[in-house]
Amino acid sequence: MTEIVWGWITAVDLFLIGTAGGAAIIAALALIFGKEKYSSLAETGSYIAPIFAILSIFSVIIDLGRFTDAPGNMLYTLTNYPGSMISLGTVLRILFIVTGLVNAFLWIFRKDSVGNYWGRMVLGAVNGVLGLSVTLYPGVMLSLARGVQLWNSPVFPWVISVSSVLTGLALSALMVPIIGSVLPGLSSNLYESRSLLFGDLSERLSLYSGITTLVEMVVVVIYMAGVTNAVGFQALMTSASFWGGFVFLGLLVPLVIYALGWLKVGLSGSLRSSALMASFLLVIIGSILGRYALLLAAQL
Amino acid sequence: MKLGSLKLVSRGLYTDEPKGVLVDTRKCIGCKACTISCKLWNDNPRETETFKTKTSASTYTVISETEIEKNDKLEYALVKKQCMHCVEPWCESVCPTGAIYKTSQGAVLYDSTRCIGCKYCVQACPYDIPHFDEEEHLIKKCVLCTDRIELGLEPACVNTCISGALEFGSRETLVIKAQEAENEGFNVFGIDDGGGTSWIYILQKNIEPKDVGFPDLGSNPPSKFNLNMIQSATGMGGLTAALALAGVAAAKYVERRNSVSESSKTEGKEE
Repeated sequence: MTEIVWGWITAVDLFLIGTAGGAAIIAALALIFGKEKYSSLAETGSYIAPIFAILSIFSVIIDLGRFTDAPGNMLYTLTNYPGSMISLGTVLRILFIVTGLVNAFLWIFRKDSVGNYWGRMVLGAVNGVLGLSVTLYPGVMLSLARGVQLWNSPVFPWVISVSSVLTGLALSALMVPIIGSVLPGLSSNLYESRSLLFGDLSERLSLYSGITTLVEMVVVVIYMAGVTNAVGFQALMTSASFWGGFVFLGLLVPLVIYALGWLKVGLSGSLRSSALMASFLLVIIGSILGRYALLLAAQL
Repeated sequence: MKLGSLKLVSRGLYTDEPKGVLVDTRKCIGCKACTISCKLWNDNPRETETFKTKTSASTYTVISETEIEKNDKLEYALVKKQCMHCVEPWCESVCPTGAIYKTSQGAVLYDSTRCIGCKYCVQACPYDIPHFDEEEHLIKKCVLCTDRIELGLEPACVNTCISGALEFGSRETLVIKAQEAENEGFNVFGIDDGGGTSWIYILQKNIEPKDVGFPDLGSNPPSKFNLNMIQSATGMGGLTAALALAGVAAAKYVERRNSVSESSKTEGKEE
C-alpha cells in the first residue's frame, strides 16, 4: 500500500465506536455482576454508549465525503446488499444506538420500580452484546482487507476490541466524578458516588483495569508475533504513536499505576485516586494514538 | 449491450465468455507504448515529469522495472502492471453497494453512481490498484477497455504492443498457453493466484512472482479467505475470553489468600 486513504478521521471513528461499545460492555458487566456497588459505572457507561456511537456516525459521514450520493446509496446498500460488511456494521450501529438511547433514558428517569430495574437490566445486557459486536466489527472489517497484510490477522479484531473495552472502562470511570460534580442534578447516583469509585472502590477498579490491560498486552504480543508483512511490521516497530502512545502511555504506565493501586503500595489516599484518574486519561490518549498508528503503518 | 456490440455478435466477433490478457514478459522490450495508448484511450492527463512506476488515479497502467540480484547475477524484469481483473475480485468482495462489479466478459467495472466513498476497495485490492481521486471523490482504474471489447476490438494497450508481449483472448485459452510455459519451467502468475486473474503472466525461469511485486495470496479466492478469517477470529475470541477469566480467577485467588492470611494474623493477635 502506498495510498493513505484511511487517516485521522477513520482513527477517530474507530475510537468513538470502540469506546461506545466498550462503555456498553462495562455498563452491562457492572450492572449484572457489580449490582448496586458499581451502578455509577453502569450509569455513565449507559450514557457514553449512545452519545459516542452517534458521534461516530458523524465521523463516518465526514470520512465518506460524498454528502449528496452517500445517503441514498447507503439505503440502496442496506436493501440490496444486507450481507456486506458495511451493511452489517450500519445495522449493528443503528441497533446499538436505539437500544442505547432507550437504556440511557431509563437511567435518566430512574425509578425504584421493578419495571425500570428490569428494563435497565435487559436493555443493558442487549446493549452490552451489541457493544461487543461494534467493538469487533471494525477490526473484522479491516482484517478482511486483503491489500493490507498488517491487518490480515484473526487476532487483529481482538486487539481493537479489548482496547475498546479498556477505553470504555477508563472513560466510564472518569465520567463518574465529572458528571457527579459538574451536573449534580442529573443523577443523585453519580453525585453520591463521585468520590466512591476512586476512593473505596479504587482497589477493585485498579484490579479490573489491570486485568484488562494485561489481556490487551497478551493479545497485542500474539498479534505482533503473527505479522508477516515486513514493510508494515517495520512501520509499526518504528511508530512513535504505537510504542510511545499506545504501548507506553496507554498500557504500561497505567498498568504500573493499577498495580500500585491494587497492592496499596507507594501511593496513598488522594494521590492514588489522582494517579488512577491520570492513568485513565492516558488510556484514552493511547487508544486514539494506537488506532492511528495501526491504520497508518498498514497503509505505508 | 450497445447496438454496436449486437451487430458484432451477429458477425461472431463478440462473445460473452470471460476474456483475459496473457503477458509474456519474455517478449516485453519496455517501450511503454501500452501506457501511452492507455492514457490516450482513457483521456487521462499526460505525465508531467517522467513515466510513473506505480499506477494512480490518472495512470491505469505502468511498466514496472525491477532489478533482481540472484546468484551474483543481475536480472532485469519488465512487468506491465494494471488492474488484474480477478476472477473473483477482492475489491468487489468488499464493496458494500455493488458499485464494483464483474462483467461476464471478465472486466471489473466501477459504477460511480452507486459508490458511497468508503474506499474499502482500495484497501482490499492485493495489487494496489483502485485509486481514489480526491478531487472527484471517485475510484479510478483500468476497465479492460470494455468499450473497445464491446466493439470487437482489443484493449488499447494490447493493440499497441509492438513486441507481441500482450495477447488478448478467451481466458480459458490463455490459461492453457500459460500452463504450457509453466511446464517448460517458466514461472507464471494469475492462473489460480488469489482465485485467478484475467491478466496472466509468464515470467522468466529465474524470476519468481514475488520478485516483481506480486503478492503471495495462495489459491484461495476472497470468499474462502474471508470465511477462514472470520472463523479464525471467532476462535481467537475463545482465547481472549479465557485470558480474561484466568486473570479474574487469579486475582480472586490472590485476594482470598490475602484475606485468609490477614484474618489469621488478626486471630493470632487476639489470642
